Parts: sequence; C-alpha cells; structure tokens
Amino acid sequence: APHHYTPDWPSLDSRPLPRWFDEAKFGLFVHWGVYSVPAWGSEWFWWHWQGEQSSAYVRFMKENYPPGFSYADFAPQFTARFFHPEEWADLFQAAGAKYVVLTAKHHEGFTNWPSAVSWNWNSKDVGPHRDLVGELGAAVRKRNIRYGLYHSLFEWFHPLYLLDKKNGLKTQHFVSTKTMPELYDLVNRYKPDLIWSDGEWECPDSYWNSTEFLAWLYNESPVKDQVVVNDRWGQNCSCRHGGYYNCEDKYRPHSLPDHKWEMCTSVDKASWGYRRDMSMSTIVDENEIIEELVQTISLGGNYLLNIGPNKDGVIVPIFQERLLAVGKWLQINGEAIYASKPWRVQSERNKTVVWYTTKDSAVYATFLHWPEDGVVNLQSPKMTSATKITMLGMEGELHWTQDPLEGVLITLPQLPPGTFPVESAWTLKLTKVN
Amino acid sequence: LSYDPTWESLDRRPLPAWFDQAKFGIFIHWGVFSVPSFGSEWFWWYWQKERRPKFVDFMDNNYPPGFKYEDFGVLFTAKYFNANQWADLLQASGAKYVVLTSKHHEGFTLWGSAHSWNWNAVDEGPKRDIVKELEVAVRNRTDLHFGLYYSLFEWFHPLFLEDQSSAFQKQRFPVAKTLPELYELVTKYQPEVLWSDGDGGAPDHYWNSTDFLAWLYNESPVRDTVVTNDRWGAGSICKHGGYYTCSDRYNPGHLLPHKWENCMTIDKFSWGYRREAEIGDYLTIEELVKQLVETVSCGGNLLMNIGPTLDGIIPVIFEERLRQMGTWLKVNGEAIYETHTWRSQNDTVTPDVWYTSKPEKKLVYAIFLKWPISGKLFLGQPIGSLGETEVELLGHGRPLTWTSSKPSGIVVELPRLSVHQMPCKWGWTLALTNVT
Repeated sequence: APHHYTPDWPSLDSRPLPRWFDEAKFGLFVHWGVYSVPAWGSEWFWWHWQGEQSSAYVRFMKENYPPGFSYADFAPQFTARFFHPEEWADLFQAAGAKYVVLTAKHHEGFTNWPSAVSWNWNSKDVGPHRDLVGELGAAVRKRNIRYGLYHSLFEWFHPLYLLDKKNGLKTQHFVSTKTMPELYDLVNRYKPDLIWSDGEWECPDSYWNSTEFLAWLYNESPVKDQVVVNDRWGQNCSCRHGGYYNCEDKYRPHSLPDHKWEMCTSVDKASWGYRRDMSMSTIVDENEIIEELVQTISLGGNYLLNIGPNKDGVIVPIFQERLLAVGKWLQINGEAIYASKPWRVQSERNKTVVWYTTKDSAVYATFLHWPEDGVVNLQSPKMTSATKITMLGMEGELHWTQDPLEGVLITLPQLPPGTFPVESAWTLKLTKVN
Repeated sequence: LSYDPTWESLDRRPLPAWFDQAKFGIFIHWGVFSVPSFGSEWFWWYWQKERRPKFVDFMDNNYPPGFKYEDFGVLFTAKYFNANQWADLLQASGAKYVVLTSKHHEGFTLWGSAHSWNWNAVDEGPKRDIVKELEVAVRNRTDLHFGLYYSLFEWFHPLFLEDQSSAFQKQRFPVAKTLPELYELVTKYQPEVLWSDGDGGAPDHYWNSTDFLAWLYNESPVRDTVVTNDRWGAGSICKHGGYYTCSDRYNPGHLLPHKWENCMTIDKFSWGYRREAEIGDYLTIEELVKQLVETVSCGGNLLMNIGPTLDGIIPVIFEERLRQMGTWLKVNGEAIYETHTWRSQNDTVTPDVWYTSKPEKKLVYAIFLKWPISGKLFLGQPIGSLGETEVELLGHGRPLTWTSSKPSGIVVELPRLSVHQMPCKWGWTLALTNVT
C-alpha cells in the first residue's frame, strides 16, 4: 500500500529513496543559461556585476559593452545555434552517466523552457526560441538515461522576491506566483526523475512552501514513485532534510555517512558555467576525476560531474575529452561501480590507496597507483580456500599469498605499457572472501 | 655573398642552420575568419564565391540580410589576447619557432598596414598591433624564432581581380599592396620565417618574388637568419624556396634531398578555429607525437597549427596538446632537436620505430611508439659492437642489456617499469652509442 506523506520533515524524510538513484552512482550536471553569454568569471556573473558590484565585473562590462547595456540584453545572444540534443545525449551515454541534471532555471531567473510565469525571460520567447529542457529530456530518455532538473528557488533580482524580503518574508508573492508554479509546471510537463533544488539559503523552508510541494510530489505527482530530491529546500535544510544529501558543493565526507549523499563537482574547477577564459590550470585531469569517483562511490555517494556548454550549445572539446575518458574507464571498471554498495571497510592505505565496494557476493578493491614491485597488499579481506582474484578488464586469475602480518599479497600481472586495461585506478575482483 | 633575382641563384643560398636544428614549430591561424569561426578559415570564399550551402545557410540563419563579411571585422575583438601568456605557452610546447598569419587570403592584416586602411587590426577590431605584441613577447620571453605567414593574394581585392582578368599581364595589385606589405613586414618585425602562401594561380614573375627574395637575402635586416618556404608563385611549390612544404600536411615517409616542412593542423579539418569541432576532430597526442617523429626522422620540420578564438584565447584543447608535446619533448627532445637523419629512417623489423642521429657524438636514436609486449625491442637496422655499444632509455638513467641478432640488428631488453616509473607516455627513445 502506498504511503501517504504529510507536509512535515519527519514524514517526508521517512520516504525510502527510489532504488534507481543509489544504483546509478554517476551523473552529469549541465550548467547552461544566459550567463553562458558573457561567459566570464562564473555563472554568478549578474550578481557579481550588479549585486555586489565587484570591480572586476563592473570593469568588464564597461570595457566590453555600451553604457546602458543590461543583463537582459545578453539573452538574444544565447542562441544555442549548435545545440543538437541527440549529440549531447550520445556523449552523455558514452561518458557512462546514468542520470543528467540540467539547469532548468538558475538564480538569474531565465528559464530554459517556455515557462508561462517567466514571460520574455525564457528560452522559447528569446534567444534559442526552443524548449531546451524538453528537447534534452527526450534525447537522454531515449538512451535510458534518467533526467533531472536543477531549479533555483530564488532569483537574485526578481522584484517580487525583493519585495517579500523587504516585508520580512511575511508575504509570499514570489513563491506563490513564480517558484511554486514553475516547480509544478516542470514536474507535470517534463516528469523529471530528479529535482535538484538550490538557492534556498536566504529563507526558511516555510517561506518556500517546500514541505507542501514535496508532499504533493511524493503523494500525487506523476513521478511520485521514482522522483528523487536533494536537500536544499530552505535555510538549514542542507545535510539534514531531503531524499539524499548534497550538504555543500564538492562535499566529501571522511567516513561512511549513514544517509545517501551526492558529491557535485565541476570539470572546470573555477566555474560551473562555461568561461571563455578557461585555461588548463583549472581543468581537472582525468585521473583526478576517476579517483574522486571511486572514493565517492566507496563512501556510498553518487558522483555528479558538471560541464558548462557555451552560448552556441557547444560542449567544448576539452569537456568532451574528459567525459569520454570517464566513460572509457567505466566501460571496464563499471562492474565495481554501478549498483554496488559500500563494503564493511571503505579504504586502506599502504603502498597504494585502495577503495572497496561490494556487489552480490563479490568484493571490489580499486587501487589508484600501480605498486612498484607489482604486488598489492590488502589487509581487510579475509581469504577462504575458495577465494578467486581477477582484475577487471583482464583474463585469468591472479596469484595471491597470505602473510600473517601484511595480509593478502596479490601479484599483479606484468604488463607492458599500452596493454594496461586503463591508465589509472585498476580494480581487483575478489570472490568468496569474508 | 650576393644573390641575383633568379631561382638558380636564390636556391643556392644555404639554409640558415637554426631552422633544421629547430625541428618543431607552432603555426597560428588567426584573423577575421575567427569571428564566424565556422567550417573553415576559407569561410568568406566558400560563402560568397563558391556559395556552398552549408555556409550560405549558416549566414542566412544567424545574421541579418545584407550582413557582409566585412561586418565581422569589428567583432574581431582580441579582447583577451595576452601575448605574454601565448609566449609562455609556446615555450612550454617545446617548439622552437612560431609562425603567425599576418595576413590570410581575406586581406585583413594583424598589423596596422598603411596599404590596408580600415581593414587591419589597428584601425578595426582589436585596435592593436597584434604582430608587434606577439613579436616582442616571443623575443623577450622565449627562445623561439618569430615567423610570419603572409598571403600574396586576396580573394576579393578589386586590384587583384582586375589583374587576374588581364591574365596577370597587369601587375597593379603586387605593386600597390603585396610588395609594399612584404617589405614593411620584414623591416618592421624582422621575421626569421617568411611563410608565403596564396599564389592565386599567378606565376612568380607576377609577384616579383625573385626580386623580393634577392633583397631579403642580400640587404634586409634578417638576411643572415631568415628562412623562406616554397610558395612564391604558381609552380614554385616543392621546387623553389629555402625549404619545401610541397602540400599541406606533407609527410612523405622517406628522405628528401631538400629540407622540408610538414605543416599540419591539430583540428584535422581546419586551420582556423571552428566552434562546431568535436573532440574526435582533434588529433590525439599519440597521433601528434607520431607525426613529429616520422617527420623529423625523414629530415623534415613539423609545423603544428592552432587556431585562437576571436577574443584572443587559445582554446583549452589546443593548450592541452601544446603542453603534452612539451612534456614529451622534455624527455625525448634530445632525439629531436639538432639531430640529423640516419642511414635508415625507420626499422624494417619492428613497425613504428623511427631513427635520428647525432654523428658527432656517435649517437643513434631509436624512437618507438609502441612498447613491445615481450619487453624486448627488436631493431633490425643498427649493428652493435660488443664492448663499445651502449643502449639507454631516455629519462631512465641506467644502461640496458642488448644482444646481437641474426642476420643483423640488435635486441634490447627494456626495463620492467610500472606505469608511474615510465619516463614518459606516447613514445620512448633508445639512445644507441657506437652502433653502425
């Protein structure tokens, strides 16, 4: 019998997380909007320029745009002229992603779908003249990738939001005419598998009507059985209330949390949105991404990796290259990742760092650096007479011995370069161990 | 020495020694074509002359009716162009010379040419002397030689079109534009590579090429160091010039009797930056190292091209390739720079092994692109001498064991190394001392 949730945190938080999310493990985040037009500094461009009036941004505008140019004047330049959702979806599939989260609306308020409550500030009325949310959703779903939508609760400069704040949040004009209508519209129209809420921190969840919305979402919405939400539904909700926890951007716990969580991070370390002025020094390298992915999954998290397409709708080649590198690694080692569970021990460090996962009756030990002597030393697994050890991507069993002090010593295959199954982070599969 | 304005005389000039020693250069294609940055740097020609549907549709879909190619000029901002940053990246790539498009076939000059009023980087767009800024940065911050690409013809210049319609009996365009610009470039920026292109189907005497080159070699401020290519008139390619380019992406796979250069692009389909390029359109670092090694073994220089954006940024994917090349050359550069060809260019037994040499040091380098599964490298060409021949892996630091094989050649036992112990990726070098 389906449970009925009441609009309070104890009830909502009791809902079991739909199974697909924990099994998915790896998703892609896409930050795309009008901020992709100036494409400078970060996706917080408008705030830095006209909110806090940062001198660097003020100077940037003065040097590059005529006096009187407003942020809204950027919108026609958000052309998405090279946006081909099928190609994006092919890339996401090749990356091994099981879910994709698109910014339906970031803090600037511009909606990437034809929102009736965002007249002339949406992707259908201005700029692309397309329903970007709808088009991408159709393409990814065709490839059995789950589709999530990021939605910012607040908007930096919306007059009704500013009015509510001025009224000490005793009024809810903005929420009732914009935030809530948009959220219901997104759910009813696009049936997202995931709602990635953000922009909550200035107001309590009672202002945002979060628990009312979530109760409807879990009880009556068309996605009530599969929808997953994060934890950013009001002041102090982070890491406390939500289907899974983000806690903070690039969150990385030191030990196994008791609640499902997700690490969200970006290929461009300095920005979520595309920046024209990116350089190699701020691009995460492939090995670092894979190490973070492995560590995150071992600690029970999902890994959400962000890219920012440009105003033309191009995912620039350096981002493509990184995504394809992850996909290549997952092609071989995905067995230890997708639908795995944390093991009783998450990691060990001796001559190399090892991260553990488990699935069915197998234990997977992923080590990040190839030991110089070609021997991996594992302390935690207890071997049995039936134990077999193999390396993912290779055939044949590996030879191992037991040492009372050092644990199990596994002799790795002697491999010339060019024949390693992957370039970094190799996975040992141990069966019939305790 | 003095050179007459004839090919017979000019072609006798010895190539300045630095060029063959340099082996690796970076080509930069940048101009108004970087604004539409679509399809190719030949955008204007494909759109307005050939009227290719892809380009016509692109303009119809994205720009208002009546928009002209010249309207792109003001949009070429070079806003983020930082010559010092470019110079530092060029240095990091391990290249020894750089060639910038001072003027491509569209006629827009990256310096304030008095002969290109309001169609140059100082009057419009950047409003900066791009050539000067890069020249100063390269010369102050790097050990690279500074070179300039220059297109003899311009697709749509009325004087050129007029000369062309006279079957090049008239010479108004070279007299009014090409030659004054060439003399100005040399005098003002003192390029050590003058990379000519765009004969426009006209013979070298129409372009006054031999007169110009005689001045360049005899009287110009760069007469002792300047290097020229072979594109000085229809029919001169691969026949007349300081070194031969023969064709774009020329890579014969064998020795040539004349110094040559393989000019090629990281983006397989374009010299100029293309917004719509996919990652699969870019050569991988493995492919680039292979190009370099094959080219140098056969006596050529590799000139590898990048295309910056309209606002002066070298896209990160190009930055990555340049830095990767630099990483590889840091370990293996000894086998590239200042080397000579050897009696064999590649191995007959093991594929993807290419040889270079330093005869004065009795060194032969065998660069191999695939690490053998057996851990033994079979080299069919070198003949080893017991007690004299030494073999070392560059970056490894300890001598390796080798044995002779029948009927000729040697077998080298490569060290057993883990991933992290490898001196480099993408290709490795054995230094062979005292082989014949």
